[in-house]
Amino acid sequence: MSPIQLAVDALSLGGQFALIALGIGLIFGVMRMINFAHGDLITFGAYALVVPSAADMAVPFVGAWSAWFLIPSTLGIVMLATLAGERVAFRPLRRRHADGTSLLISSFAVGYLIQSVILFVHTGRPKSVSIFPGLTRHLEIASVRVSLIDVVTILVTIALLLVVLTFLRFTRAGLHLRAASEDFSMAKLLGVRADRVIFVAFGISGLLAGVVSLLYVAKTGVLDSRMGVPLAIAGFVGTVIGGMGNLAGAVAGGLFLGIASTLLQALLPEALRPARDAFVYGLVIVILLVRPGGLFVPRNAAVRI
Amino acid sequence: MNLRRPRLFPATGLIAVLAVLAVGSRLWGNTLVEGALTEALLYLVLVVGLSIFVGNSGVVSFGHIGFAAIGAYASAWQTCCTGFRGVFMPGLPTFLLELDMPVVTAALLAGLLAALVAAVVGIAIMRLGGIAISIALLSLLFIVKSVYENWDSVTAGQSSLVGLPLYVDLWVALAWAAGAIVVAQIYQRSAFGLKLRAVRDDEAAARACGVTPWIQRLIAFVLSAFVAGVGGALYGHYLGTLAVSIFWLDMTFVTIAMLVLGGMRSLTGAVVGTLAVTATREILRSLERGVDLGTLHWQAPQGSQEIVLALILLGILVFRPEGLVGDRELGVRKAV
Amino acid sequence: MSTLLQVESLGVRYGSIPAVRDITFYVDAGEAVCFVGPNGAGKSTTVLTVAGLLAPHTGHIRFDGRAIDGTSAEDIAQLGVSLVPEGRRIFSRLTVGENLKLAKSLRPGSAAATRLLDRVLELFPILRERYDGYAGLLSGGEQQQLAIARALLTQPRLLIVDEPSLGLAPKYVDLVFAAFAHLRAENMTLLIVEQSIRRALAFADRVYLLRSGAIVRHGRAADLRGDADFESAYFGGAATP
Repeated sequence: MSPIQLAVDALSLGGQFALIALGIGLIFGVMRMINFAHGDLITFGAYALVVPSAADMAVPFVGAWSAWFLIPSTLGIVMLATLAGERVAFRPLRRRHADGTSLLISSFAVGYLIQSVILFVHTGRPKSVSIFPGLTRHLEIASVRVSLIDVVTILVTIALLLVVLTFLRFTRAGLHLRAASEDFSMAKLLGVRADRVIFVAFGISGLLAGVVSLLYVAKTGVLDSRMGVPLAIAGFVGTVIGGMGNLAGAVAGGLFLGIASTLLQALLPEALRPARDAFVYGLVIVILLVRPGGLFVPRNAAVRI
Repeated sequence: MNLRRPRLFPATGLIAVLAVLAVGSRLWGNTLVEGALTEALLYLVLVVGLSIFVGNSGVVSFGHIGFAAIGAYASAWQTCCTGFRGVFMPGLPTFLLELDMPVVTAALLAGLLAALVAAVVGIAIMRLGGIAISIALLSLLFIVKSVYENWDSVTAGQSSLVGLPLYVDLWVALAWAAGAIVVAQIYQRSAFGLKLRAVRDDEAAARACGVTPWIQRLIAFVLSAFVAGVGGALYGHYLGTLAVSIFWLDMTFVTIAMLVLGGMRSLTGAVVGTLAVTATREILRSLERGVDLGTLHWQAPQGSQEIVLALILLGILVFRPEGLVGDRELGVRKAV
Repeated sequence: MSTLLQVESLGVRYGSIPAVRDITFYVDAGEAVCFVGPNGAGKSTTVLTVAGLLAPHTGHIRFDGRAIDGTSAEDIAQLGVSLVPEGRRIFSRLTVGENLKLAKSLRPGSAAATRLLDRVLELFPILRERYDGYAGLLSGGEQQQLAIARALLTQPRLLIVDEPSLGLAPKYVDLVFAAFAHLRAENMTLLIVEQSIRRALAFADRVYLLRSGAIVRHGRAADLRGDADFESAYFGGAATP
């Protein structure tokens, strides 16, 4: 494999992980809760592309529409599902000032519910669906073959990260969200609306999950009821690497993880490759232990009182 | 804590209730009910193991089913498929290949292996804070799965291991469940249990009293991994076959649902939750098989039970967060 | 003068442990009131409850004639109560300017708000100097100024400040109290929690003395100055009601 191909692979996977980590990190910031359901929302978005049925052959549903309808519909569906989850499973607990443990279990239950509903409707057999068939082509750049979808993934990631970071940096809602992520009760004391901030955080998180649904399915073409679980785990790892509660760190952490796993996959001897995942999950524990603040400590962390 | 409480409760009361249920189901002679109760008792071992850590520390663990897997395979290494062990698991060291361990010893040793693993990883993980521990323990579950699925020479990898001695019946399950309850109660009443609950309720205050939080968490973690490991071993000998995928998210979800439904902070809660969830699952399972209402045959669609269970858990978290029994214990008047 | 804040028989508990029992007090519009008392007297608990971060166990809180017990913290803030909590709690990952902009954004009316920002920066000139730097890089005294400035930008009708002098160098304490005096001259209603009796008596119109979760003395500062009984009540002596 040429270095350029490897770099494209690494950045494409890293970009996907960065989007997931940012989605998880946004919610962690305002809720101090790891949203275990994030991966299953990605799965949910992917399954929205096909007609709900127990049949083996998947019939495209949203997936059959033109891109102009397909993309906003999928993103909208995932955002709605994410917001509905917040409304039903998290808001009542928040109102009651439930402890972190209950929120964690609740998000675990939401994830399990989504998986179960998908299993119920679509059965456990993996299905295949093709969206954006044009993207599976390969590009020939200076005699190096790279897959178009990987290039698109990288571009979409960059664009989306810019949009989200611009939103956080320069809008009023973004300012409120950043303040609430740092000290929620102080933000409330100033009059920041808790429900609105959390709504915005879940909305963006859902949007990011929806984008990952599309990118993932466009690349693999496979649907599986548990497909989101390893993706969510990658997102947790990314948030942990970046330092929980630090959004830029989450993005960097996800990117780092994607690059590291691609390189390990390519460079590890054949016999050790299956152990790659164990290594990646082990990495979480090691980082939590040696650098609980994440690998990329923010500039002003030292003076945080 | 009121130290003048009757010392035997709730353990004796809970065991008595379980024994009555067991005898009742045998006398009734309904094999379906007896099977369900056996499974409930096996799950109870796992849930009590989980509750030793979760109930006393207040930190939720998504990793205990990993210890069940470790225990299940450890017991298989000692007892499985005499004569063919080397064929299925060629990677085992020679002393294990020739071993013919009594099943009870094998289960205890299986628990010990799980406890040993917990001690090693716990020394590191238990120093973390609440949410970080939960994430690290979930990662641990993934590590165990990933390692065991790829360690073909001793676990048969992604295929199933068959031929475990089927010695676990209703009475064996009852005996081990009773044992787990007794262990949990002894721990809960011990100075260690008291110290850990002090950490759970107010870490700073507990520290000020000279309690080291991570050591107390570690003690509970190791003990609970032991019980979960034994539970996993028993489950393997109840099924007769093992696959890594048995010890995965479904089992994690079901055990956590059992614990939360009953009440995370009480041993009585663990028992009530386990029985309630098992009963619900059995009813839904039989609905999935179909019921005859007069001339009408109605069948619940496959997969209903998981959905209903997830909804019940969410409902409990929203409407009755302290679980069915809260922090009350059977036969114990609540301390003021 | 009309009563702005009226608290009656307030009781607050942490779990089953009462932190405040049966506290009754009021603050009139335009008044400067101080709470004094030793650690653990329930001063912070009381103001946190007024601001809506803690739920009262018993009693009633009325702000401008309207019941606000059980109202959420953000709604109370929107009604015009601004609390600067103990420890300042500035957003250290936002810049000084963003901290201020955040507060400003919570009140409509941009022209007036911009004028107010200018005035607040006149009151605390150091904040103009550090405007684009991260708030976490400010010294303790500078952070206290930012916290008060931020509260002012929400255009409160009642400003509550919990232990403004805690852990500050004397020059900053003087600076902060000079700012309070300035606000008072502009008719801002103030409720200040202060450990130093001397400072409280010198500054306030009226003083409440709290001990062990109850009000043990209160009166006009002018009457209490030089009252030996009052000081002994602070240090745990017999309190005469």
